[in-house]
Amino acid sequence: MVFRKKEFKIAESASVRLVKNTISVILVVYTFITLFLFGNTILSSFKEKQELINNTIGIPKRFTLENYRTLLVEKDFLRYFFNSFFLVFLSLFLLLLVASMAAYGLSSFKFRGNSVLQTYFLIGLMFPIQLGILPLFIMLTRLHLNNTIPGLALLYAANMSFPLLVFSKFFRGIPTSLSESARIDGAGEFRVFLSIIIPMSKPVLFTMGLINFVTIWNDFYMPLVFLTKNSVRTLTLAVYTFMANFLANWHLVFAAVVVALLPVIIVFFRFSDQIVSGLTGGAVKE
Amino acid sequence: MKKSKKYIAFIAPAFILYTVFMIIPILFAMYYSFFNWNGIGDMVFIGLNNFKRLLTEPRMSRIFFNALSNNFVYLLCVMVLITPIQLFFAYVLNIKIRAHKYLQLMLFLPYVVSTSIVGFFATLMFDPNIGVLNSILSSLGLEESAWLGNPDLSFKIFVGVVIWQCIGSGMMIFYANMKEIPDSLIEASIIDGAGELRKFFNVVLPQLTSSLSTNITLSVIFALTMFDIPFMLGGPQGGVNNTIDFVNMVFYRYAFGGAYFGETSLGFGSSISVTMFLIILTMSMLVKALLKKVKIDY
Amino acid sequence: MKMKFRILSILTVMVMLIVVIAGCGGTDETTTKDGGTTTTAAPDESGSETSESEGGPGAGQSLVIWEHTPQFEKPLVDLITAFNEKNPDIKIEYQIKTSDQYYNLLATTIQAGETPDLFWTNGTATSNLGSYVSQGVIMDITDKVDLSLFTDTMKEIVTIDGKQYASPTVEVGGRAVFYNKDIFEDLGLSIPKDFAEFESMLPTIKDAGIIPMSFSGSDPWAVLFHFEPVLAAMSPDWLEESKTQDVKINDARVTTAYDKMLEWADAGYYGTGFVGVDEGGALLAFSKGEAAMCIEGTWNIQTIQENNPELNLGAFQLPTADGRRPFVGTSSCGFSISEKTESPEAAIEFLNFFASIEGQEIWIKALDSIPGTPEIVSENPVINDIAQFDFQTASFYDILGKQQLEGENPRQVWEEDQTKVMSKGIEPQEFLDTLASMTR
Repeated sequence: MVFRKKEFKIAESASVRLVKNTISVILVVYTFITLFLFGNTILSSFKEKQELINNTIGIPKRFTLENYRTLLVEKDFLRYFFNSFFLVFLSLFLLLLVASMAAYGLSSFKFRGNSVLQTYFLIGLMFPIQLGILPLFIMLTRLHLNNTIPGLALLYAANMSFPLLVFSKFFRGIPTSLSESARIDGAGEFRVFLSIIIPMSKPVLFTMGLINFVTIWNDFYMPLVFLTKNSVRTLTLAVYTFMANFLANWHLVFAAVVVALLPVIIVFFRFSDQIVSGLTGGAVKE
Repeated sequence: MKKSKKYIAFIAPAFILYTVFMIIPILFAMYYSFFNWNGIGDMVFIGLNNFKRLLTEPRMSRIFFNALSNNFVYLLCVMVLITPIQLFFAYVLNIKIRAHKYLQLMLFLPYVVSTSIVGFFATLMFDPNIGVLNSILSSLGLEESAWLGNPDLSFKIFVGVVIWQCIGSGMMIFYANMKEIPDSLIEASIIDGAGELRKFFNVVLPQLTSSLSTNITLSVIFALTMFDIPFMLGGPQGGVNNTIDFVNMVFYRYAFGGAYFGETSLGFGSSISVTMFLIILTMSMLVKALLKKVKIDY
Repeated sequence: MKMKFRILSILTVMVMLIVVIAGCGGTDETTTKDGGTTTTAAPDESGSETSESEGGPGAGQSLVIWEHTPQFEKPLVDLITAFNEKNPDIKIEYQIKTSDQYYNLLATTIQAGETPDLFWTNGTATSNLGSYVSQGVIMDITDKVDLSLFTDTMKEIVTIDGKQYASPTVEVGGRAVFYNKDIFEDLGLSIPKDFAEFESMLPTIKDAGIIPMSFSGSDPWAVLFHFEPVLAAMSPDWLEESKTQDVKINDARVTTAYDKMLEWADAGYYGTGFVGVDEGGALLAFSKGEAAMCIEGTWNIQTIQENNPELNLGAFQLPTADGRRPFVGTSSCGFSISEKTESPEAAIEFLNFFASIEGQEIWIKALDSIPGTPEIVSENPVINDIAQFDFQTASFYDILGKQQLEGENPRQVWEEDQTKVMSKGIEPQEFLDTLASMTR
């Protein structure tokens, strides 16, 4: 690993070199494992079932797209894919909206019980989600929201402790001068929130958006409980049930893993760049 | 901070949503913990007997405290190992070392994998008969290992898998925080001729208070609620000789049973969660006080 | 200014509500269209529930069926397809759960009043059926469904206080030694005549560089399905006694079976790291030909054959010292009907079909499992291999349940500690002593 010269000016003593070499070795091993697992999964997804038995690790001798065809056409993965997207985006929209608003309320207003309320909003992280299944199920059934994607999106949005905590810590770090001057100009609180706080928090908004995107996309437990109909089933749940019987159709498992990973990888890397670029020209850098 | 009633409008939607779909179910669970109840039959009020059984019955308390100590050992690993690694990688990405795009891809890639896929990958790697690691060892003429079946190794493997898979999220929070550090500060230090290490400790680290306190608070909570990775690696029984058993897995086993063994005891399971909640709450309060003391939180 | 915030929060709540309501409508619409892959839709001409005179009983009604694990998807689909040929007016939707969550999900839906019309349980093998029955959740089908196909032994698993609450199946869940015929042929081995011969094969296979038996030491159930045939081969008399009386769980005859397994483990007959192998890994090592044998549940035949269709698979029963072939078999439970079902006629009609010879034939063949009645003959040669046995014995796990003391839960302790016996976390004797203290 070589640091850019301009940035790295420290004299290279022996100990520094040792540290750097160790880090390089760790990174190489780390990268190797990652590349191996992903590479092998992608390669195996093109193998025929029979070849997979004797050639579990390695390049396929005969490429086949049959596995993907089976999944997308026969196993309805296309529909699950759209369900997952709908679910994730609806959840994220609600989650980020209410959590950032509440975080702003908590971090920039002084009121009695503020500190208690912050702890209150953390409690959700301290219980296993499985615990609340029974009352939640009964509630959603009464609200006729069981087996609907918006119903589950509400539950995901209610699970807001994590983003709320992160947002409120970050909002407190934003210099108050800008919002103060906006207020003097006569902007209302909501204007301040929308046009000053939100643009300045783009990195953290994208970060939390991405982390929650990954979490919700990958969750199989809540869909297992709340989305039981085939018409609303999500991709991760479909992959999970595949895994539960992976021996019988393991040639499909590799392809299913790829299908489940691809969208999240694309979204992730498309938007992780936004964390970086979202800041340029941001008002934080006064 | 201002004094104003306007906060109500900002907090109300979140408060309602969170209370209805998060807190009310938790209150129900607290209520169940005082009953002997399998989730379907009659509820028998037994006072604190569930808690008594969990903490004092020889067999049960051994299981519980073994799992709890695993939670705390893991928390220690997070503090001394995982958080520094996250911080380090976030910084390395931030100063845009050579090939940082590639590095970013490699570090984030495992993070997007769902845990059920991690379990599948673990079989491919660690399975003693068909896994990659043993075939590498045997082709080198070395002795094969039981990997997750070895009680001395299983916890280390678990921590390794967590590092591989989970450093992404904490790292991103650090990273986003670093992005908010004004360039002027860093430029000033470069003009001053500060080396990379000094720059990190004198300029960058003091600016990371918000992400540090966030990450520490979250680490405590996440470490004490650990569930899915050990579940995927070691099965519901907590791995070989319970070496990767965690409190949430004990909760899961007792609350829900399984298809072969169908005993569900929601009452007792709830008492495990409520006990754990009290522990986590105490820990978070301690952390909060501690952070305030070292002035990381403002 | 204040007004603005009120308006804003009201707006937010309203947006949420609209989303919710829109979602409801939207999903209702898709539900009715949901005739695709997992459901078998009724033809359009049926429709109204009053059309019973045109079709059979239950015409126009719809059913939701729950199964507990993906292994049963194919038999269920085959069954529904055949049923719908006869009863095109009954619309059936099925849902496959995962076994670790099944009872939790079922209890949740029951509590919420959303019980599926028909659902699987493990019958009296676990306490669930009993507790559902005592809660009045399950329909008494004693005179409603024709169970004449089944023997009294088979019906035990669905009978509570002399009444039937589910249909059993004729499927016998057994255990067997699966072996790779090619490896056996290469090494000049044949099906062992007695226990000593079986043991003498193990070093031969190991010396050839092949794992004699792939075995998952990390999964209590996989250990059980291996342990039970060993126990049956070594101590058939103990199992025989258990049929008529309470037996000592920590009997030396039980300990000796565990000791034998540990002896095999130390000799390397399970491969080096079997304690770290999960059940899937053990089956995969066998189907890939890395292991010569695997002692497992017979319900895995289909999985093994689907995983590697070219595997030359055979099976036998582990023989006793005097050459008799025991068979550890348990009967299995089918579906129960919800007491509150809105389609009782259709549900009974379906269960009658399930309990018929035709239904059972479809079920057994799609599962590739062992038929417990001579009326159904399997075409799978491996099944016929397994059926070669001299006497049937009870299951150790069932004995634990049968003899458990009131308020104790030996099966849970068994499940928690079983793998520790294989990883030498506890001594077999200590393990069995604990179990014995919780049983009669």
